[in-house]
Amino acid sequence: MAYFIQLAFAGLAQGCIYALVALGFTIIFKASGVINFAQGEFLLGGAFVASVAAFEWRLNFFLAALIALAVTILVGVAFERFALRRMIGRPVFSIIMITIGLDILIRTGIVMTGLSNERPPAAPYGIAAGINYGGVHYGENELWTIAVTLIVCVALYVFFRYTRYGLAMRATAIDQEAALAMGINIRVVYMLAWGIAGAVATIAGIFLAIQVTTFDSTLGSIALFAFPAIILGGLDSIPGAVVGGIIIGVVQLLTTGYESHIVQFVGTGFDTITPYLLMIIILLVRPYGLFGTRKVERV
Amino acid sequence: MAIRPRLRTSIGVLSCLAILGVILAGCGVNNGGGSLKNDFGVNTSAKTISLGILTPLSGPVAAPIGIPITKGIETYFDAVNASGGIDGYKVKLVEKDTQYNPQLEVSAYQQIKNQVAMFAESLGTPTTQAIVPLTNNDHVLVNAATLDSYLAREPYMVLIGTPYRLQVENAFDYVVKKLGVQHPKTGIIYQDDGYGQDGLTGYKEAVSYYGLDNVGEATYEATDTTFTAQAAQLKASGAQYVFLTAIPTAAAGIIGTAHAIGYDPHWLLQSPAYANGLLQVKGLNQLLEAEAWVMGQGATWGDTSVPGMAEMLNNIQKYAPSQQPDGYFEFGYTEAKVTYAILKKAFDNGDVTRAGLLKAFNSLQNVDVGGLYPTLHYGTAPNQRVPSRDSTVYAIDPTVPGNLKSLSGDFTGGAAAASQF
Amino acid sequence: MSEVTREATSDAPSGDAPTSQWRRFLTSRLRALLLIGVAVWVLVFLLGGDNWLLILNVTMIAAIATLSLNVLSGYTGLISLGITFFMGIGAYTAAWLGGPPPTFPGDPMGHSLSIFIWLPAAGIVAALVGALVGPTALRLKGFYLAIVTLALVFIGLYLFKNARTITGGPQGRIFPGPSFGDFSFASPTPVFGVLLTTNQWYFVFLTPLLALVALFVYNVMRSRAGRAFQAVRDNETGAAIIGVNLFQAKMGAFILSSFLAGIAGALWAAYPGGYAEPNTWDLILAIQFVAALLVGGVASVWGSILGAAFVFGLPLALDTFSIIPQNTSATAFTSGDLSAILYGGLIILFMLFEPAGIIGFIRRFQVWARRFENPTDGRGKGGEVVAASEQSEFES
Repeated sequence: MAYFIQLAFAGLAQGCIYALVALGFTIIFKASGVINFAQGEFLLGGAFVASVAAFEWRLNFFLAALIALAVTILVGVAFERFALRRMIGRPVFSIIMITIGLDILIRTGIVMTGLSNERPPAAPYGIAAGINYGGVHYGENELWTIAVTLIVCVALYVFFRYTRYGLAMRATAIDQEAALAMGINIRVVYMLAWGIAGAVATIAGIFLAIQVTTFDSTLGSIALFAFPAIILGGLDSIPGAVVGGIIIGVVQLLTTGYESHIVQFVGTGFDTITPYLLMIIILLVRPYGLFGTRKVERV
Repeated sequence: MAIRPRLRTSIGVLSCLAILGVILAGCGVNNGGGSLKNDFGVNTSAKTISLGILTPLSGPVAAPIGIPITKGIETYFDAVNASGGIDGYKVKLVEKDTQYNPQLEVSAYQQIKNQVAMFAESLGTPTTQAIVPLTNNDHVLVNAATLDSYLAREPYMVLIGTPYRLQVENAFDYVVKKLGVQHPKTGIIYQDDGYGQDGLTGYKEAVSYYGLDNVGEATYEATDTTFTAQAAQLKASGAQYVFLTAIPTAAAGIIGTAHAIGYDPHWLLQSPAYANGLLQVKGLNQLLEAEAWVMGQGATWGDTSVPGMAEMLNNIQKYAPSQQPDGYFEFGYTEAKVTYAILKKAFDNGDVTRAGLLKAFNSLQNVDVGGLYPTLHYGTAPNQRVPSRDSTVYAIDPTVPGNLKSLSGDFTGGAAAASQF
Repeated sequence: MSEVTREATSDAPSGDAPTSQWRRFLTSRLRALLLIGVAVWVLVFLLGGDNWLLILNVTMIAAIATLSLNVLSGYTGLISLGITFFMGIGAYTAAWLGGPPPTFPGDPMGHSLSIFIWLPAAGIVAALVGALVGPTALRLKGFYLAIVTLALVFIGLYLFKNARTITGGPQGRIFPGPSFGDFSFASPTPVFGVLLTTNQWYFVFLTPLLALVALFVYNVMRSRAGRAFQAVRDNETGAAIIGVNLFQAKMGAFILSSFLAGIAGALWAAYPGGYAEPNTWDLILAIQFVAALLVGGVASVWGSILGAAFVFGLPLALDTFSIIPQNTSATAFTSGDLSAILYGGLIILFMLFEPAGIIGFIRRFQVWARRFENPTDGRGKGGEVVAASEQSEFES
C-alpha cells in the first residue's frame, strides 16, 4: 500500500509538471491558434539559464530563477513578434514546422555553449529533504511542485476572470475578429500568451531539473507527453490541461511501478506509450476531451 | 519563346552539376615504390601513414567521451612522431565527426577508407556496428572504442578493455568473494538499449555463477526524467546491491530519488555511468561517496610508479598541457598503444597492406601497455579476442586526482574468466 | 493550383515546315531535357566518386520517403508525423524476409529471400498496416491527426524494441541489400568484366526506382483518384457534396503513402550501412521528412526531390567536404552544429518568406526571368506581369 501511495504521489508531482507545460500549450492555442512545438525547449532553456546563473555566476536561487523567467519570456515574446506574427493565416503544417525550427535552434544553441552536459540544477533545498510518513517519503521538491502549480492555477484563474487583460485574452480566444472590433489590442494579447507560456515552462523546467538531479540537453523531450495531456483535457480548456496533465502523470508512474508484474505480457517500455494509448482511447470515445467544447461544423 | 529560359536554366543547372561532379571526383592514393608492401594510407615518398578516427566531435557524447579519447590518441601519436615515427614513418590522423549517428559514421567511413591504412578509433556501439559489414568487405582493421562484447565475434574489430558484461560479473565477484557476502539480494537497473542489454547479460551470468538472489530488474528509457518507479520497485524488493547500467544523468537521478524515498543500497556503477560532473550536485556527492562504487580499469591517474602512467603524464605536459585527469583520455592513449603495436609488427614484417595489418594483428598475442592497463591478450577465436577480462572496483573520493580510488586492485573474477563469447 | 507542368508539347514551328514524328521528338523540350539528364547521369556515374554517389543515393532514398509523405500530406492534406512508423514496418518486413539467418542464439530471424520478394513485400505489408490503422486515424483532422501519428511513432518504437526475433531488440540487426546469388551490392564482383563499387551499383539501381516512383505519383495525381485526393485537401465538405467518397479517397491516400514509405524504409535501413537499431525510426527522423516536404514544396514531385536534397543531402555534403575542419578543442564549432543551425534556421526562413518551398522560389524566379525576353510573353493583356500564385497549396 505504501508502494502505491509513493507512486501516486510521485505521479501527482510529475503530472503537475506536465500540467504546467500543457497550460503553456493551451494558453498559446487559445490566444492564437498555434501549437508551440518549442515549449519543451522553453522548459530546457529555463532550467539551463537558472542553472548557469546559480553555478557559473554564483547567484542565489531566487535571483537565478528570476533571470531564467526573464530570458524565457523574452525569447518567447520575441519569437512571436518577429516570426509568428507573419504566419497568421498560414496552414497548420507550416506553423507547426516553424515552431519546430525554433525548437531546434534553441536546443542547438544551448548545446553549443558547451555547458550543457550533466548540469546540476539550481535548487534551494537538498535532494533528500522532505517528510516521511507511513512508509512514504513526501519529497520537498514534489511538495513544492504541487504547491506552486496550484498557485499558478489560482493566479491564472484570477487573471482571466478579474483583470482587463485576462478578459481581453478570453475574448480573443472566443472570437478574434469580434475582439478586434471591440478595440482589443490583439498584439498585446499574443505577447501575453507567449509570455505566460514561457513563464510556466520555466517554472516547470526548474522543478523538473531538481527532480532529475542532473540534466542535459534532452530535458525538453518530456514536453511531448503534454500532448496527450491537452487532448485528454480538451484542447481549448485550461482546467482540462491541468487535469489532463495530472492524470497522465499518475498513470505513467503507476504503469512503470507495476510494469515488472506485467512485463511477460507487454515487454519493456510499456510505460512510454501508456499516455498515447490513453490519448487514442479518449479520441475515440470523447474526441473533445474531458472539458473541451464541442465544435459545430458549419457547411 | 516562353520555353527557352526554362530550357536554358535547366541546361545551365545540369551542366554545373556535371562540372561539379568532375571536379569533386575522388582523389587517388599516392603509391610509391620501395620494398615496403602497401596499398592504402601509406605514402612512401613523404613517409607518412594515415589512420582514421570516427568519433563524435559534436553532440552530447562528444565532450564527456568522444573528445577525451581522441585527445588521448592524438597525444600518443604526437609523442611517437616527435621521436621519429614508426620505422621513420610519421603518423597522420584523419578525423571525422560522426555525431554518434550511424548513418554519418558510414558516410565518413566511406569517405576516408581509401585514405587510411586502418582506423585508430571508432566510437560507439550502434555506430561501429553499422560499419562492421563494410569493414568485413574492405578488410580494414578498426580499433573499436566500445565495450560491447558482440563485437568480439568480428574479425576486423580490435577491442581494448573489459566489456560491460564482464564488468558486471567482476563487480559481483568482488561482493561475494572479496567482501564475503553470501547470497546477497541483488538487482539491476539498466537502460533500454544495446548498452543496457549487455549489462543485463552480464548480470544474469553473474546471478547464476555466484548464486545471487535476484530480486529486481528494472529498466528506463534514455529520455526518462523520473525514476521514482524504478527506485520504489527496488526498494520494495529489498535489494542490497544494485547494479546500474546507465548514463550519468540517469544514475544521478536514480541514486538521488532512491535516497529521497529512504532507500540506500550499495550502488555498483558501470564505467560510463559515472562522470565527474555529478559531484557538483548538492547532496549527491555525499551519497556517491558513501554508497557508490564504480567499475573501471586502468592505472590510477598520477601513479608514477607505473611506467606507462609516467610516460603518459610526461607526454601530456608536452603536447596537451591543459588536460585534466580523465579515464577516457587514458583509454584513448592505451588504444593508441595497441594500434602502434599492430603497425610496428606490420612494418617489421615489411607489409603494411590491409592483409599485412590483419596478419600482424592476428599474430599479436600480448601487448604490454606499460601498466596503464594489464597486459592485453589477443588471438583469433572470439574468446581470445576479448583482450582483458579484469576490472577494478573504485570508490568515489574527491580528494584523489580523477576522483576515483581503487578499492580492490585489478582482478579477474571467476565468472568473467569463464564467460563465453 | 497545379504544379510545375511538363507537358510534352511539341515546339514544332507553325507554318509549312514538315512536322514529322521524329522531328517533333527531337525538338520537344521534354526530350531535350531527358537527353541532357541522361548525359549528366552518365558523367556523374563515371566521375562522381564514392563521396558524391553516397550523398546522391541517400538523397534518392529520402526522396522516395518524402514522396510518400507528399501523397498523404501534400496532395491529400492529411498531416502526418508518423512516416517513420511505416518505414520501420517496411524495413523489418524486408529484414525478416531477406536478411541472413541467425548465427548465434538470440539473433534475429531472416530468410535470405531475394530482393524481388522483400522489397515489394516491404511496401505491401506497410500498406496493410496502413489499411488497419487508417480507419481510426482518419476520423481526425488537423492537429489531432498530427498528434495521433506522433503517437504511432512511439508505439512503433515500443513494438520494435520488444519484437526481438524480428528486429533484434534494442541491439539492432542487419538489413539486406540487393543481392543475386553470389553477387551482392555490398561486396560486388566484376560483371561482364566490369567492376563497379557498391555506391555505383546503388546509383544504377536507385535512379530508375526513384524515377518510377516519381512518375507514378505524378500520374496518380493527375488521374481521377489524384484529383479526389486534392479535392479532399482543398475543401472536404465541398468534395463530399460533389460526390467524392471521402473515406475511400483518404484511405486510398493513406494506403498508397504507407506502401511507398515501406519501400523507402527498407532501402533506408539497407543503405549505406545495412545495420540499424529500433531507435532509428524515431520522431526526429519523421520531422526531418516533414521538413523536406515543406521546404521542397508541397504537392510537387520535384519539390519532394529537392526538399530531400536540401534536408538530407546538404548536411551530408557539408560534413563530407569538411567545410569546417574537425578539431577536438572543447568549445569547437563543428559541422554537426553547423548542420543543425542551418537546418533549423533555414526552416524558419522558408516558412516565413517562402511557404511554397523551393519550388515556389523557383517558380517566382522563372516568372522574374520571363521579363527578359519577348515582351508580350508572361504578361496579361494590359501589360501587367502575371505572377505565379503565392498562396500555399496546402490548406487545412
